[in-house]
Amino acid sequence: METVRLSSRDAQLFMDTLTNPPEPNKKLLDAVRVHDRLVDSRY
Amino acid sequence: MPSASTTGSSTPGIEMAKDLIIALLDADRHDRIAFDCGEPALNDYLQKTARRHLQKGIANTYVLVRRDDPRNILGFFTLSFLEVDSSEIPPQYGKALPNTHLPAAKLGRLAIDKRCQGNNYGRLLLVDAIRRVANAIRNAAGVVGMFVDAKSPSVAAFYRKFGFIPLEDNPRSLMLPHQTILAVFPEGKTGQGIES
Repeated sequence: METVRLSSRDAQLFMDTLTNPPEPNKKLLDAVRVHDRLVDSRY
Repeated sequence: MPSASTTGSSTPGIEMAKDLIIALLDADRHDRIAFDCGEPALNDYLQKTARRHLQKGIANTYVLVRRDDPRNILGFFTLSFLEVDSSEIPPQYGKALPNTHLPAAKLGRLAIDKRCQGNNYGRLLLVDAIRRVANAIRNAAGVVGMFVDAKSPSVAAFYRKFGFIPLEDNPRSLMLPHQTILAVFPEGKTGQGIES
């Protein structure tokens, strides 16, 4: 399995992001609405 | 003329068929050879490797097709798991995490056929990938987030636009933390539209 190796700076960023995750932005939420309108997701 | 499902009009109580379908690659149903995104490595992956990776459990490939032309692949993405090496994680976080590797999802490839580029299909594939990861987190297996490797600065900019966070020392590697993924698809929304 592929492994991501983080530098110490990126490990700090990674943990900060996990601890304080950002809210989804408007662009992403808008894209979700378009997806819901146009796309059938199937397995 | 656009259909009702693309104009957003619908009759209450009646589910309109959606124009686009994203489904797991099926070599018998999908024409991989005709696909051309303009990037030979991505074309080759879809045509020569994707099915093998699917069969061996290395990566799943999902393809975008039109409902009225379901053999013709308009775009695809791949999802797999990866490990985040936690050895550099600052000690103050040590108690919260296992001292080995952390599981994550990887959006490995995302490509749109040249004939469809400019139609914003890339964002539909991206949303679909995030939804599938959210669904997995809720129903199957935990991951700390989703990683993507951008092939170029412009591709990295595409992911940043949707909230992916670039690593500082490797800005073409970007991540979306699992809480953000779950916030995109609140409880009960992850399975919306997903049918077998």
